[in-house]
Amino acid sequence: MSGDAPLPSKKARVVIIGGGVMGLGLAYNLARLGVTDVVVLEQSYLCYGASGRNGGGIRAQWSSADNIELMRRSIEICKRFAREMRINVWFRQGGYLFVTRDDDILAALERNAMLQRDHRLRTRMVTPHQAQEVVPELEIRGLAGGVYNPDDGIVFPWPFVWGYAQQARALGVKVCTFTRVTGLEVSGGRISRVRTSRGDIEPEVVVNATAAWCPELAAMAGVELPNQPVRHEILVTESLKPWLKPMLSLLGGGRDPTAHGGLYFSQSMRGEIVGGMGAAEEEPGLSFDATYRFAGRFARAATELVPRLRGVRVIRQWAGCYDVTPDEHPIVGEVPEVADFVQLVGFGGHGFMMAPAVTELCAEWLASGKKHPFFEKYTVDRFRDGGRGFESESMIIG
Amino acid sequence: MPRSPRIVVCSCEDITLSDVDSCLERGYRDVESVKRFTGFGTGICQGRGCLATVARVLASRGVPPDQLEPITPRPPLEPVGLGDLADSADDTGAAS
Repeated sequence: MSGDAPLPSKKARVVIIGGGVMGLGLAYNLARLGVTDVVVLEQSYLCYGASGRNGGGIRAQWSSADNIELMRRSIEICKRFAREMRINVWFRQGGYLFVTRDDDILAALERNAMLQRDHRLRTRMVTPHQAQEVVPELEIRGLAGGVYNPDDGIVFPWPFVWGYAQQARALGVKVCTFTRVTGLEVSGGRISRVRTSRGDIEPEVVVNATAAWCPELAAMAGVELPNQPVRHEILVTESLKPWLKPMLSLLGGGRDPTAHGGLYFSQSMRGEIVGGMGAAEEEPGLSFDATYRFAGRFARAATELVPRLRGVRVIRQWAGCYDVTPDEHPIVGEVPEVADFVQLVGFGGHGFMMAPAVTELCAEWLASGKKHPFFEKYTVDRFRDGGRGFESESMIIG
Repeated sequence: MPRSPRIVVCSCEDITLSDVDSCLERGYRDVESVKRFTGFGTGICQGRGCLATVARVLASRGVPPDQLEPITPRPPLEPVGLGDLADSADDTGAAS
């Protein structure tokens, strides 16, 4: 399985590049549909990328109908995951409570809530006092109001990766870790060979599930993607007895909520507070380093919102990269330049939570040929010839 | 059948020797994978009390030395209260 041994196969029907939840979820769902001649190539250990670095949030509160529907399905899959995949994912449906001090943001949240209710979610607007009923420790002075969906949830991310990997392998998928793709040979308008640090493999279909690394990978096949990796920092505290029911997020606070600034934190089932917030000045780039700037800012914002947090100790900070597209919507489906080269990227900071539903749909497409409209609507084509894409998803946090 | 003794290798998270062996049996043999599969080193001491022990176990199970790298060190060096961080130096925008 590791770095020096040659690849287990010289050919495969599907070669998936990227062993995060997208790649592994796709492999598992393909194998469940009988497509087992699948090889997943992961450059490092499983959980290395964003799949192993995120805060475990799983929510359906989004501003676009497509995201809402996909996430409804993902939440359903999460509820059954532990039983079906036989691994504890610490799934807890405590809801997500978004609050804000800004009236314009509150108005936008109200519009989104109406859309979500049209899609049969139980989202409801809350006054500051009602928000305090959900989180009694909340400092409500200065708050304009918020929105709450009790069915949103939190998981512990690592077991998702282990679960998908183990069940995929049990069905015959080969998962190759510590295997770097070094080149993609294109001939006759398709990828004829995937070159790796452990030898070459001839694919029928290649899937790009590399997230932060996706533009580099696509470039190997001469395909240009507008994605950029952007670092987002996160931290974890010591364990406390259970007290915080929902994931809590503050939108705005001097920053445009679409500028990746939203503070968020939640209490895991292990009792730790896990949370993050984006930095408006963060330049695109692949970095996993932790900064003092983040620790100070997060601490100020979080303790202002929940003063009781002052006594809680941080034990670790780290970071991961959001795979960001110009309109905050994913890039999936085919590309015009190269046949059978499927993109499954650009999910920003919500790829982990989308993976269960998205990979289910993608597997159905690749196995049966029936393509769900999602894989036509969100192709890279919308950015070609000067195109700027769709109206941005506005409920981005972290 | 006599039960084998329960040997704790990570006391913060209650991870046993047999947890580590199960992990190795599944093919996850580098320190970072063993950490993420068993949870060792993710508790309050962040590996101080257990990393050397687990590394010795891996070595004794045939994991080659080049895969015995320590867990990536991250701040803070020791637990720091959110109140202390909030009250510390002004945000100058500088990353470090």
